[in-house]
Amino acid sequence: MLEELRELIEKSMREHDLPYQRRQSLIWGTSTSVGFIITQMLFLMALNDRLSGFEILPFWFVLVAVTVYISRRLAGLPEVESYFSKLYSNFWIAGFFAIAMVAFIALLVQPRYTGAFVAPVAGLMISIAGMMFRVRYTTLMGFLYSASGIPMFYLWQYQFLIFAVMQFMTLALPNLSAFKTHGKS
Amino acid sequence: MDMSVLDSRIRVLALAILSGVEKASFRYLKEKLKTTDGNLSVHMQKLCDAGYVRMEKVFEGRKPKTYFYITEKGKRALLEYIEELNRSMKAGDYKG
Repeated sequence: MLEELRELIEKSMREHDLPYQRRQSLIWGTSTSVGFIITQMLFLMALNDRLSGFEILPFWFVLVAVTVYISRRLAGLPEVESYFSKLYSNFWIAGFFAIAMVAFIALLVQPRYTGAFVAPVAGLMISIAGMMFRVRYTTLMGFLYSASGIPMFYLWQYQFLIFAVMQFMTLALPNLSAFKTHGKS
Repeated sequence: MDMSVLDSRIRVLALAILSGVEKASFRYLKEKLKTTDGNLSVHMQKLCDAGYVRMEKVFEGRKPKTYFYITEKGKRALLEYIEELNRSMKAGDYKG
């Protein structure tokens, strides 16, 4: 009994609602991909009109708010929240701050190459997340994401299109079947 | 502290699971403990009544969802139970 209790406590500390996580990834991956495609179109239009990168930011605030709402409605609630899940969500909160900071600084210093600065940071975060869950695909996609900073540097006019492709391939593509069993008990 | 609440194996295991997580749903506990809705309801109610567990009802769309959290009292009770179990094993009078 003592051994069983010890194992149960240790196991539950690492517990994570993976189906919920997959639903979240699919929603966020799809919405941000769409967001990047729209940003790409706005960006190409702005290039002729000298629109600064900051004018695209309000669009992203709206997109994030809408995605938060949709993910709460569609992805439901997790069955369990362990200390590991808490650590994982804190990791992403810190990651988003890091990405936002890098994006902000890049927009001030070298707005053309914002993507080339942001992609390595985002890719690193994704790789770490993949390692945390021991998912080889995510780890590999994280490295590819980081490497996508190179084409973003040279093809900076199309950096948001590259972001859209990477977001879709990393987050949405492996989770396309995430909703198949949701709601069925 | 009323330790008789922890006479049941399911209640001890439920408390052990909850001690490792922030919160767990009724469905999650049911799957982990391989028990029925009715059985688990009774056990969880006893844990709630003893103050070892806190219950929270939320809505997932239109469906209600019940979450359970372990309380400080519950954590202390589980620790005490484990210590007691340890002592009994050392003394050699534990058969389980």
